[in-house]
Amino acid sequence: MDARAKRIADNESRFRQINERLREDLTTLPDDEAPVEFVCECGKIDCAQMVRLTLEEYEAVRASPLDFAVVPGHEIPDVEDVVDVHDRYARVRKHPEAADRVRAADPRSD
Amino acid sequence: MPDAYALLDALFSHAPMGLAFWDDELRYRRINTALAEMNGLAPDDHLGRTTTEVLGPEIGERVAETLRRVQSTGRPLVDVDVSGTTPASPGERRQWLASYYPVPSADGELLGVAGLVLEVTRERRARRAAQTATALLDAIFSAAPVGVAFWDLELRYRRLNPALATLNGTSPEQHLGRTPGELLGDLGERIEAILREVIDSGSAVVDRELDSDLDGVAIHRQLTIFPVTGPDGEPIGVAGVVRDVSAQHEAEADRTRLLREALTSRAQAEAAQVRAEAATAEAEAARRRTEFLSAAGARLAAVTTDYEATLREVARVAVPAIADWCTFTLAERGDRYRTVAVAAADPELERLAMEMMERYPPRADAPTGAARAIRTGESQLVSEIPEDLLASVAQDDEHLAFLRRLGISSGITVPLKTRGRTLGALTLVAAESGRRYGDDDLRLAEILAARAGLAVENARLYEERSHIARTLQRSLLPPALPDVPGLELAARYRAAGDQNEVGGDFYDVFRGGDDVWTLLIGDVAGKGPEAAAVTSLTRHTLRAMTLRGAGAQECLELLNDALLNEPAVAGRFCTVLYTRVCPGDDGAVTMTLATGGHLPPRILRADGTLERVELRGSIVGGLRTPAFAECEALLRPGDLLVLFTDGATELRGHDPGVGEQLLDALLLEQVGQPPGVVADAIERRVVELQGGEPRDDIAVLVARPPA
Repeated sequence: MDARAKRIADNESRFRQINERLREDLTTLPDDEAPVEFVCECGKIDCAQMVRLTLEEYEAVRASPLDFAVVPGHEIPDVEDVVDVHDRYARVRKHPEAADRVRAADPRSD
Repeated sequence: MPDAYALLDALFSHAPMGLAFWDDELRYRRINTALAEMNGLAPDDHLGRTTTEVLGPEIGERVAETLRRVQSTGRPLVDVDVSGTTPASPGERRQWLASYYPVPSADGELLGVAGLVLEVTRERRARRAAQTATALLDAIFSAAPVGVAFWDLELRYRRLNPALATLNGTSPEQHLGRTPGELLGDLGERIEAILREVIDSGSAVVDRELDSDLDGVAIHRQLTIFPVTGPDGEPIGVAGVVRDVSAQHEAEADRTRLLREALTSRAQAEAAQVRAEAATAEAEAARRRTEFLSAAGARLAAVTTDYEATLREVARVAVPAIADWCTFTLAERGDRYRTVAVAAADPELERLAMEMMERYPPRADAPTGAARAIRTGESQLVSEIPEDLLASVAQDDEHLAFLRRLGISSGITVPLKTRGRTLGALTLVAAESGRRYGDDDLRLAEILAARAGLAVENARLYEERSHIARTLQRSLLPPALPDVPGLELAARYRAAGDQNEVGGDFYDVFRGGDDVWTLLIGDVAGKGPEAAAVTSLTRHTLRAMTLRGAGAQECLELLNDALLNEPAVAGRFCTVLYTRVCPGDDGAVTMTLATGGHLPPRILRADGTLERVELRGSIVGGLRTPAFAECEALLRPGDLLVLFTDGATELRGHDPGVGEQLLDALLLEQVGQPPGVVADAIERRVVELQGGEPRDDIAVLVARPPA
């Protein structure tokens, strides 16, 4: 894995950690089925967008330690595959060479 | 009548109410025990006494007044309320209901007044309590800010307050006798379900929430319902408190929304921090790459001919900036490769790498590394070098041991290409640092290799051009000065600059006939091949004309025509000092000098006198009708003739006249010195005065008849 792919994977993992903290804090609030604004987990360094997912959708993405939620169009095809695309978000899956790296950084893999 | 008295006595004795008879003076004449106990005195203590005397002024006077009214009117007074304190219970206010009747005699004469007294203290208190409770309940129902209701066992509203009616959107009267379902539809049915739950379980339901919609506005109710039983303990219905908690819900929703926004903002800020850090790291990496390229570029830009030394410097800059070790390998004839630079961050690693390179130079057919890059002209990035790859490239077990000891973990090889040719390869290797090369590193290596390739190519071209220039320059100067009988000669020539261009200065000494020699010195405008062509034409024209017997002035005139008429040198001109010398038997030398715009020569006499040979003449090749002149001069033994070009008087930042003055001063110091010493002194002084790098070519020709 080259330095760029590594950098992208690391950035995406850090955004996932931020979203996981957000998700954990949201559990202290009353349940709400409305979409929540999460940080776009893409590897683009200039992205400042939020991606809207319901908690159920978010949990579905988090089911795999290799998957990340990004704003549609923020996929980086040479380092990740697009699993599915929705109106509000796209779900991408890291290529195998980055799997160990992002899996190790997944808070739910502890 | 005795029976009548007996019956009266029995009534007085056993009647559960108080009985008394007052005489016409309204004194107790008879009283039963019940009334006596109410009054707190024994029956006998009443007899003969008035009510005031028995009961005190408060009650006694009012009873006496009543008795007087009955006595005066002859009519009974029924159910008269009497209240007050009696000796039976001082301080306790008690109540009675009394009826008073006139008692006439058989002839109609009023005998007295009879009284029947019933104590109603307890009943009155109970009634007042009930009234108070009812009033309180009414007040609570009316004033309660929450809805309150009572439903019977058929779930019909039996009582409710205005607050609940308002909450339900209709009047209290509309509720009474109707069930919640009849009144409120779906919401009412949900309420009924809760009421039934309470009735069935006999237990209260506390703070049960129900949501509804009233004209598009969300209403949130909170119900507490409890069973109500009658005095006999049997259920008679359910009561409940209904609160409108919509405002609390809205406040809670607002709080939740604000908290969500705060959490989202925090996440955004954290993400911004991450991206800022990433951008900073990227900028830092770019800065390091730029710095490295700048440092490497500065070394490559300074390269002249020793490009191998430059490549060694670049390799040194590359470690540890972008590699743990770095090599440059150049292709040589016959598919042979030579590693010209090896640098490593760790001296031991460098020694090891150099040893390996010496023992195992790259093989032309190697499947990877520098040989492959040179052979294919393609870059190769191997982010992670596995053990089996090391084994595959190793030439033998010892080579493999070298590779393992070097700890190679990642590598890049990039061809050094220029003008379609591959000159060599740059190899970057990661070892103990643990770095893994990626595309960015490959791009950096390719930029470096491109610059290095260009530097190598330029150096080779420079060297080639310098070689040509030197060769051409040598062809334009006499390989050695001839031996001229009766004349000592010395010449010096120093090309300015990088010596990669043919200079414009020249000199020559050749035999012009029997005992006649010609000394030439000149300066062609410009440098390079065109100047060389003028120099060559000038020398050979003058030689040819001299040999054909032309005089000094005539030679210059013919040269002027030749230059003007030769298209290959059109527009070029030169200065020439033509000197014909004839050494005589007495040791003196007769000279004929002609100048074509050249600097006047100097004659340093043996006695220390310095003469400037003034001559005038046009630049050669500049005019169609030039004016040349010639003069005669004599050199006696020991006299020095000094011919020079303007490079010998060039003095940066000063008028040319200053340079000539300095030259003259120098010559005056050279009295008695042989030509070689004088020529050396002139060259040395000029070089010194110009900081070691003369801007112009220097040619000096010195002749002396031996003393």
